Amino acid sequence: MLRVLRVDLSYFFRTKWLIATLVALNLSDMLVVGLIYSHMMSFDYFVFFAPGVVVSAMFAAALDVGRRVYLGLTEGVTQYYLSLPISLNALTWAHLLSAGFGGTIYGGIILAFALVAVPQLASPAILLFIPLMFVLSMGLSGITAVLNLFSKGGDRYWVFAEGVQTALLGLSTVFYPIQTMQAVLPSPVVGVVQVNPLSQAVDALREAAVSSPALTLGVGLQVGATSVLLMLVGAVGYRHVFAKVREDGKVS
Amino acid sequence: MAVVGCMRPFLVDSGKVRATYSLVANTLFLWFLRGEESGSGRMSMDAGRGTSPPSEGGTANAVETKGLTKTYGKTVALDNLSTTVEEGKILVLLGPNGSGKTTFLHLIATVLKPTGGTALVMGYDIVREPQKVREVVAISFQDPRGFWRHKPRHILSFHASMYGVSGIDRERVVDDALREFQLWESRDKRFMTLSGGQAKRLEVAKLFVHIPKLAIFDEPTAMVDLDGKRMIWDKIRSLKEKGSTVIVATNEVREAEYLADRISIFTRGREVVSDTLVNLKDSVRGGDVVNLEFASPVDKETIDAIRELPGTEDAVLIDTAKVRARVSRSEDWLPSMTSALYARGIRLASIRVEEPSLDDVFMLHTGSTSVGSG
Amino acid sequence: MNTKALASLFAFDFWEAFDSISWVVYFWFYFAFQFFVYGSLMANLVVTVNNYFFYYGAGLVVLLSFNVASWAGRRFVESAHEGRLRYLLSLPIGRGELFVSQLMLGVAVNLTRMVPPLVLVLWLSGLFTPWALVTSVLVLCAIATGIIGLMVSLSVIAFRSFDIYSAIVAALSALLIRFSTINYPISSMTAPYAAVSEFNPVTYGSDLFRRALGFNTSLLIDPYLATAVVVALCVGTLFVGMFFLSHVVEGVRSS
Repeated sequence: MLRVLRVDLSYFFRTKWLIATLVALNLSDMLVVGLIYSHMMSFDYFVFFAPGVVVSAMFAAALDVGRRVYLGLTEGVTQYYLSLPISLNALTWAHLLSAGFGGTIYGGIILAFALVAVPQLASPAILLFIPLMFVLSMGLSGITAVLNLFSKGGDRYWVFAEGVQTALLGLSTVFYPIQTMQAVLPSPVVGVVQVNPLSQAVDALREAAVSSPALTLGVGLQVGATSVLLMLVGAVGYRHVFAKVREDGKVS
Repeated sequence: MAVVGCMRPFLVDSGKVRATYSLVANTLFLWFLRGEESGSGRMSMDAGRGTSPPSEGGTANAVETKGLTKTYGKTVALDNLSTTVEEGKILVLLGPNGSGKTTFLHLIATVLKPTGGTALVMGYDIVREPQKVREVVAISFQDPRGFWRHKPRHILSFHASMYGVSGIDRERVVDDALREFQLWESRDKRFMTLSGGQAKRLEVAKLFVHIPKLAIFDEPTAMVDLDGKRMIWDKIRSLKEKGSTVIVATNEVREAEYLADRISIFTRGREVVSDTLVNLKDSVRGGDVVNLEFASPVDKETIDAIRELPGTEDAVLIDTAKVRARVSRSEDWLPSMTSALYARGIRLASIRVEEPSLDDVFMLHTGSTSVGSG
Repeated sequence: MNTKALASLFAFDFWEAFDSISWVVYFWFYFAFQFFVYGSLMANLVVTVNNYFFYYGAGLVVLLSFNVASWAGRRFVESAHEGRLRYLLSLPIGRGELFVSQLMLGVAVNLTRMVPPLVLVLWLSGLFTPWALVTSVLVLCAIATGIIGLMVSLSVIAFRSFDIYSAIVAALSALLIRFSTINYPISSMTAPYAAVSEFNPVTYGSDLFRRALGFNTSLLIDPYLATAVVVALCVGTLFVGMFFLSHVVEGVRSS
């Protein structure tokens, strides 16, 4: 399981150029878009937005494992793994842990830059957020397990993945405060925003950075519970996908 | 953009600026689109005029190369090739992977540009008149890929339309090709769902929806089963009967033996030898093995007499009444052998002749153990 | 020019671009989501720009047009990676016609995807007139042509290293979008950012597009300058792209 985990994780960080570019993209969001919008709004959007960039980066890294699993299914890598002496559970957890590590490492890099760019965010409670990132990344990757299960391959996987990513990011407090959403959007939609794990994550990070007391137990438990629930859904989803491949040779 | 920033104070008369930009843009753009690429780096305005008339007749050369070279950095993929391909014949390029066969084919199909030298294809220079070359050449690539979402019918129809087959003719030739290449059942399946053999047959079938003057096949039967191989070979030979010149690259000796009027052996970017199959086999000294079985035990004098025959490399007794002789040209040796034995009153029970294989020919000319090992 | 061959190649590629209806539906979903959700929320927060909702909507059209044009240029590189390019290079059409077919494809896909969202923005903003529609479509075509030419020109890098190409294109695209007036007017930027944006042709393209739609001109760059820059982008990248395709690009797999 650890070997599969290492191989899977190495794919995400395989090319220094690409990682450097991705980091630069996220930083440009923070330092360009965030700063410019700050001058266009009546509050310090830059400080507000920086944690959002961290969470969206972590989200992208966590979702990437689903992409790798999908490509593995279509290119025969998963079939190769299944021919090895590894159980379905071990293979499932290898991918979920890879998502956890990938999201934490990549999100951690962006977080480190955010702490330098936005000193107001520097708080000891940020350290408590890091294990939450790990669990949350595993949970978020569970979403892609469901996509792999139901998309049955082809373009539908990519369309679903992009759609889910757009909707989850757009209907969260990553980009805008909940008060603004309450003022503009219908209440059922606001309800979705509030249960969105990204909203919970970014609010936890903002709370860890600026609130007093920093990162309440309630917030931490809420994020943890949502993450564990998603992770379990993801584990079931992945296991089902791999079992189907072992039986039928393919998902659909 | 720094230029634009500097220009801002000077862009006063906007009407003239707009008009000038439009005029310059339109003129230069149309100039670029006219004519053909040229080796000097400018589009030639004389597109369409060949430097020599297209070759005609069976004795002319379909392809002539002079010092044709292709390098990638320090790697020499094709090294100073000067050769000819006779019109109306099938030339087979034989050699292992990486020997330069595909590079040569891609150069004469103008997919690649040579680093040095040049070639004439049906009288057109590949460097100065690549467009004309592409009009007379069609190529079936080694690995069929690229059109994942399209269906075989669409792919063949597109290919036919690009070579000027239109309307009802196009539909007919496409349907015929689909049937002949056993793709009719898969005609509306996406390319990505085809098996390796189906994809390869589709790749070959492209060259049969029109009749190219020069047809190039790069390993036409790789991934194809035995029945499919024979079918493709017969189709390739039918192209020759219709007047096309054919070049086939392969590392399968059976394929070479079945198709070739002439074989060129490639290794490490060079053409080592080029000749007919018969001559190549005859070039192996002592390559023909003749197994003689006698009606009665053989004595030493008989063996010595066999050894002294012209063309004998060696003769050994392998049993009391069996001799194995290695000779250079069995077709010349056998009559003189039978005459000699008849004169001595010695009766033969059977004669079996084994010719050298192309592997033997390859080993002779390259030093490698077989075509596949390189 | 062999117009028949060009038309055949264009039709062949165009069919593939629309083969998957899922992507087309997703594209319009993405536009609608970003426009109505992100746009309305950000308009609620932005205080320095009147009618930021439609300002953002127009920028979104340019952004998506940029993305489609980038896709068309990158597709050319992917065709090399997938083995399709060498087949196209072996066909009896000139390199110039091959380049034009890629441009036509990019512009056609751009228009078919962007005209509905564009009409929506125009209609909702009350600015819909035939003249606004035609001029804004022309500006979009010019921007698309320039971006496609730029991406094809950069494709020569991919034949050395596909990863470096991907990194460069991603970074360049991000910089072109972020340091432009796609999302915010140049007057809202701090001096350093504004200075960088003034060197970005997408800045001029976005403002020219808004002017064609009939937006408030006080926030927009001088139209003659913007037109000159957009045309220069078009012509410049066309030349460079054509040169590379004619003299540099070969049928090798991108590495």
